[in-house]
Amino acid sequence: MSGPGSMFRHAMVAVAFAIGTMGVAAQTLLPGEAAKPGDRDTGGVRPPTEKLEHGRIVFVQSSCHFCHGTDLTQAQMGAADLMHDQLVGMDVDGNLIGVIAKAGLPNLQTSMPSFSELTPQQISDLAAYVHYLRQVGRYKEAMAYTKPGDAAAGKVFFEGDGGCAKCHSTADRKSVAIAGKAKMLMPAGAVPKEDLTPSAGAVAHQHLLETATVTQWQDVATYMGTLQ
Amino acid sequence: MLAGIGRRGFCKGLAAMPLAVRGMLADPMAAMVPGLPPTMGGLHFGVETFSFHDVQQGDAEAVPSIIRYMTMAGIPECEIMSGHIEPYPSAMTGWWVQTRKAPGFAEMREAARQWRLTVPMDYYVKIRKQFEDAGLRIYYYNINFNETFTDAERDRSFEAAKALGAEAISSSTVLSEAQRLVPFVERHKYHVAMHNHNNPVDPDQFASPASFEKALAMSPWFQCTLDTGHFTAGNNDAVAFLKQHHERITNVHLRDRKRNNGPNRPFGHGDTPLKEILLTIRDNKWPVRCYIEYEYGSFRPSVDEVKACMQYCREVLA
Repeated sequence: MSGPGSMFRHAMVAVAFAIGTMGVAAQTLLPGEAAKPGDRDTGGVRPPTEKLEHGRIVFVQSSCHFCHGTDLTQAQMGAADLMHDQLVGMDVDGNLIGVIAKAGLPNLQTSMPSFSELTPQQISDLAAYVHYLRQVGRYKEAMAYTKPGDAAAGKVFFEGDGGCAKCHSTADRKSVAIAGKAKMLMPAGAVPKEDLTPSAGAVAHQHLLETATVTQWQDVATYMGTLQ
Repeated sequence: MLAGIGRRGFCKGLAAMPLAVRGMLADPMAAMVPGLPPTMGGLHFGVETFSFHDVQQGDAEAVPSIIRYMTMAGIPECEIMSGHIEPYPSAMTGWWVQTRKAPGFAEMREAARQWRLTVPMDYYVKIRKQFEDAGLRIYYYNINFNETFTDAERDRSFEAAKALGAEAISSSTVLSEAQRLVPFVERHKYHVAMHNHNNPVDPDQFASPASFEKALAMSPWFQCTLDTGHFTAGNNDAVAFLKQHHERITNVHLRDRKRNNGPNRPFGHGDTPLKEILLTIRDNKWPVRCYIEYEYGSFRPSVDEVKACMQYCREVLA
């Protein structure tokens, strides 16, 4: 069946593929999904890399999860929603998260304690783990959307703030059906290097996953649907 | 009427009497818990049910889970959170101001209010019986009064506490709400113990000795639930406060935090003078009850950490 709804669904699959292959889904077990015995404890699910596991240890032993939620959902006690907080989206390697964690927020109704004893390495690992949880959660949120968005707004975002057009060419996609799709979804520079260093494309998608709103994803997907 | 003491004088005297002593006089349950020893090292230990973080608020299975965990940890009495016995919306109506900004809060708040105003008191009596059948005791009802409560709700909360068999209400609240509660504690002749945090800038909050003293001056029915960890994190001296106000402290929350708004730590690893607190209460034979509040990070189930907290106290008192 074709039509706007069908095109939107196809586009969402393409977006999911793009994010997943270069960003989150390839590296993770989603919280609560397919956890093997031993992978889950009261601090959540064991993440896929040593750095992230170190970050999880800092996260749990600092009792971040009591207020911010084990997987950043179910934030309690008036704590910041780290899944959607803009400041977390702007953080790079703990440069903002670390400042707040070390200083604490004593003036809140129930104060956030000061974790002044955290080392730079612990801050870096903690931030990596928070970003990881955030990307996993936001990926699920984006993929849960099923309604078409605003194609015109999606085009503006694609070519503007989203930065999509820096790597992806809509012209290629239009000109050659199969090869064009492949070229659009996997442009030059998207393939991870042999040492598994994230590609520039992966880094860009992960950043976008943390900063773009669900509505913006929805609009981009709808715009891509119009390129069929 | 007792010779030489008028009704008003008797009530005032009753209010001033240390709560634990009054409880034992009034209710033989306070002194007996089949299966579990009522004291450890001469002190009455309990647990704030918030410690059981893996028990979901509003979950119908919360009470059986708490009973199981208390039995596993060998703790005969508790301060039960309202969120553990009320349906889910009530969790949004308590202490945290931030939750009042959540979408749909007004509807959830009204649902919680209607539930409180209409639930039969037998609901609470049945919960009390569940604990009693397991040889356990609800000693305090923790409900966090605030300006969103109507007078009818405040009244109902006192009735609920009594139906649960609690000796007092423990409340994370603020001074302005304490003022509103004065006629309620006087009318119900029932203690409310103020629980502190460590906010250093909000003069309405309980965080310092002076803030507690303001409430204690409002009514003899007001008492303190001294959270020793928050008090220490706020750079206050919990032992000095105990020595000065032990007659108005119904229970202490035992937790170990670092000073200067530092984090929670496993018992013995923070700056809270837990050892001195426990020994001071024991050696002076003050009827101040000691309640574990586990809130440091761990990968183990909460009941295991509560047991570890109890073991620390056991070794201190050995």
